[in-house]
Amino acid sequence: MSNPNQPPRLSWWELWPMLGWGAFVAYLYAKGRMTLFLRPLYGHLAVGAAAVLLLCFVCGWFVRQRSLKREAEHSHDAHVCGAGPSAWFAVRSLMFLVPIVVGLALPERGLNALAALQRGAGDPAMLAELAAQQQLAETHEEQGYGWTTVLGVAQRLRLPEPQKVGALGFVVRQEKMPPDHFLLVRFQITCCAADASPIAVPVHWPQAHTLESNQWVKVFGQTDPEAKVLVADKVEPTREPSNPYM
Amino acid sequence: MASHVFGPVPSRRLGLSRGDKIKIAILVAMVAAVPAWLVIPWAQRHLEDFFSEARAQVFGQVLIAILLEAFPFVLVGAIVSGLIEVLVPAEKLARLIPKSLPARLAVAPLLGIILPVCECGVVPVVRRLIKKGLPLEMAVVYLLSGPILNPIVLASTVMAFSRTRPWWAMPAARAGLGILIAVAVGLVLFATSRKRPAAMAETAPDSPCGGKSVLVHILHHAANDFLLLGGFLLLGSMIAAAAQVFVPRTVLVSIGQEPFAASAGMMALAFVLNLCSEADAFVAASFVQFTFASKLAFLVLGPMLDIKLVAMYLGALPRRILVIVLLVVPPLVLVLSELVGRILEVAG
Repeated sequence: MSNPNQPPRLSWWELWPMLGWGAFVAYLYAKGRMTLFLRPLYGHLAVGAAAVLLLCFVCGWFVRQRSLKREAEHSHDAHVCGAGPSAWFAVRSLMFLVPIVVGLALPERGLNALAALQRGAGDPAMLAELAAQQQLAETHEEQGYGWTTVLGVAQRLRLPEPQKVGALGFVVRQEKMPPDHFLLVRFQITCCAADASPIAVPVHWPQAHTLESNQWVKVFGQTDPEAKVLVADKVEPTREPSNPYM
Repeated sequence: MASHVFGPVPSRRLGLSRGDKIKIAILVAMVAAVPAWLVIPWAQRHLEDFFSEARAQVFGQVLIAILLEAFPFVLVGAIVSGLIEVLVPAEKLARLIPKSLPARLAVAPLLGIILPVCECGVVPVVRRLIKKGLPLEMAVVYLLSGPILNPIVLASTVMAFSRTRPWWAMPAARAGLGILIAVAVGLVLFATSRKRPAAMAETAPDSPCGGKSVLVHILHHAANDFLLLGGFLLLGSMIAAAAQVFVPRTVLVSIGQEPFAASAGMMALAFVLNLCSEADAFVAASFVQFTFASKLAFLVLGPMLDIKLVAMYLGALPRRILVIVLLVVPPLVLVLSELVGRILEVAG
């Protein structure tokens, strides 16, 4: 007969995913890697949820310890309900290991050139649509150029007059591309990397063939409104920013 | 009185003292440390090499991104579900059943707001409500629309589509279509049989976890729901991430441009992905190449019908409900999603 006053004891299969996933999210946040996956706002939300998970784990652990103690005290007349968690329950619990292992093994960088090409980087129709959807990005003076985002450069390619601009992005090179051209790309995300859309600007630079895909660069140059290309005066290799997305 | 415990047999029964257990733990740790010392760096190196490859990296990043974004909602849903499971007596709700059919059909979707559970949590609640005398047509309306009208689901839909214009279009269309289709299925069910369903042959035993430690029970149910929903979210995210990596964009775009084919394709995807309604909006939003109508079809069908739900319906509800849901829901979702999509296109 069941004792209605007896609370259920949480098994480790229930407890460990809370600890594992909560700690994993907290680790990503502490290492500043959350921005590789999410917009900053959602990163705060995720870490808040991770804190709740860790709190649940602590509560669950205390409950478990109390139950074990009580069971030990009454082991002579204990009535065991079931034979512990089912195999499916255990498999489901262990599945939480998969994203943790994947997350820890991933390189510390944002989405790459492959994702940019698969999602239509360099597609003029898509670029025109994205550029037209948003307000003209602002610029500030840097090395005599108007420093802006890749989207800002894309928007200025649509202006009739040539503009002196600079922007930060990563290099994407395609096989079909002429050796003196590359795409300067930056992803724009709505919520997370899953919905990221690449903003890509074609760049003309004589030494383009020396660049490798995925290399982050600062490009300074002048827009060519007719060819719809940024003619680079200089290209400076640089490090990937902490938030690789716009 | 015998105490009632859950989980494995206490180790005390094996005759192990605390000291014995510590010694065994130290021994196991020492034995495990040697292979771990060799295996972990090897595995880490190989995994890092594997995920340095472009496709694997994109797969991993999309997978983690979807999970990180969706899991707070799954967690909130699991906690709310635990609260409802422990604190809200379904019997009291059943006493409030209206007498007329229109009133029943009008009230049933509201249960989704009063008892906000997702599609996994709603099945046992509906089963209990049917057993307590809730009319079948009312139960099915709650079953189908409840997971869509759940405030957490609506909030996550708003959040996922917050940067699309107008931001309210997808949540409003999802909620409206959810109610419409659920009521239509309720009417079909009512028209095909006016008899009150016979009591379920199998009666579920009262939860053995019932008791006074309310917080513990809430935590227990929340942990269970989190595991269940998190597992399905993980599977769906893996399939979604694989689809993003391995399905060429040109194929997706061509599917997305054909009106009915796109919606049918997304409905098939919703059926196979088995996503939780608290998280599916983020997955739908990530399919940037697809039409509004096809994403709407994905979001309306998913909480009503997918592989895991078919199994749950089969196990928990009268077969007739499953047959009618299978026959009525998919064609209605397909046609009405396209219709709503066209109307919004015309409205600009």
